[in-house]
Amino acid sequence: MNSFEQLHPICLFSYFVAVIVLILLCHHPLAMVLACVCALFFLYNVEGRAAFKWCKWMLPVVLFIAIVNPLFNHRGITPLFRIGDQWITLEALGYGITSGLSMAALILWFACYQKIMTNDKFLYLFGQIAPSSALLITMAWNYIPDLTKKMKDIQDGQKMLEGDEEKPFLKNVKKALKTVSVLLGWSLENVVEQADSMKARGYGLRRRSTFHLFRFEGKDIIFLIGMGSVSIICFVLRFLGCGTMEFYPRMQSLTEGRETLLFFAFFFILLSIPGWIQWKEDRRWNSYDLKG
Amino acid sequence: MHSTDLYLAVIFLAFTVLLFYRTFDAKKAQARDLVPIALMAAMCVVGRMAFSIVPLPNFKPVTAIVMITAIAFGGKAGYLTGALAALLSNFIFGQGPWTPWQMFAWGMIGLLTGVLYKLGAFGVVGQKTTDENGRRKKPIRLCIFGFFCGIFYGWFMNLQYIIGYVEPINFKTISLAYLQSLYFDLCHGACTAIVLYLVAEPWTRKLLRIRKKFGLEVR
Repeated sequence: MNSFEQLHPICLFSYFVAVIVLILLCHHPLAMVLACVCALFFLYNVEGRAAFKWCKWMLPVVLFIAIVNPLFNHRGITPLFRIGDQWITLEALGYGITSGLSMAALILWFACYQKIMTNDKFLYLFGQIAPSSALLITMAWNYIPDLTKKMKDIQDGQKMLEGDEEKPFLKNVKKALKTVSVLLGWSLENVVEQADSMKARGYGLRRRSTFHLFRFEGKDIIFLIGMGSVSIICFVLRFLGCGTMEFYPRMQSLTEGRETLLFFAFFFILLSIPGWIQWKEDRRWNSYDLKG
Repeated sequence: MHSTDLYLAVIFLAFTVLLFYRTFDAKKAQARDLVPIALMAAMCVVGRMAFSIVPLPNFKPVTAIVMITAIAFGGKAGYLTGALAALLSNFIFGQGPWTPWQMFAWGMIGLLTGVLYKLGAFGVVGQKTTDENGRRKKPIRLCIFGFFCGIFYGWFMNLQYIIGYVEPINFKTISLAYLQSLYFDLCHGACTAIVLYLVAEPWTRKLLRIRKKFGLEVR
């Protein structure tokens, strides 16, 4: 029972825009760690243990970027050790780790976005501003499962005709191309007829209503005000110089100045909003359990 | 500079959105005006699935399909198809800050192909007559161009990684990034060239026929 998910699409979209832009603006290891942890907490609340499979392939990404930077970059004044005749510096390593973490944070938050902002919400938001482009995306999105099903039929037919033993490389390419060729010929006329049929039934004559269950309620206003003020504070602090770090020539300390701590506090509040809403809702749901 | 890749992404996105808006929304386009682009973009995504039987990484026909669309319907249609194909396939494989870059890269390949074709750089595609053996001549120049398009696509996407995540940017770091992706880029280029060699002629004929029969235009 995800009540964050049930907020109005406008709230959700502006929340994700604020968070992702802040992550992109910040370049600070602590901020990135916060972002990763909060995204994982959120994903854990949404999909349970499956969230941790993200860590499995996120870790190599972070490590790769963290290692590549110091190997090819020798700026900074604190040498750690040497490989061959190249010094590895603390500053370059720190920069690499921060870059890796920020990549991971971005990927994780986009994963959250994809879990929550489903296609129907996206099209609900933008279908009013740009109806034809929204129709274009909907049409193309609708063709994909349709074409996939047809492709399956074609492949089955080819299997009956030619067998499905392993083939050498170029034969495989030709087989795939034949499938797509047949698919193209099959669907071309179909889709034009579909479009003409839409027109014949009066599509586009008047503004079209879409089915949706989104209502803008009191909780949405509360959310927007709360989220908006926290994110504005974050942005202001960011432009005052918090949430970023100088690495070269000497690394700054992780928490320089009182404003930086303030920034992290607000940043953490902003990032963990969905997690808390979710967690609270789960607690409430479970407290209705009669046995408990 | 940190997050330069993002500013560029925003610019690419704004350019693409503006083009879509001016082509369709400003003219109140009907469903049938959208058909060529919607279908070819969906074909790119599904074609990628069909090609999963080929055991090579990055062996995807998207670039080739975008180029064929550009030849049949013009450069603008090529841009829109490429951009939409990138957006759609990222609905499946995951959106990210790289989405606007991919949209722009594939879109530009489409636009360039369309413009160059109109200038006559590839000769005539899709309207050749058969010779005495019942075969049609293959568009070799188009295939060579396709090969480089596949590679340039990879190089362009490397830029996003380099601008965003490499510091400082010097010859060593850049060459390392390009060496790492060389194999994947070559695969992509080869795939594009092979697909164009085998099907550019017949698919363009199919598309041109439909375009004529139903009077489809992308203006």
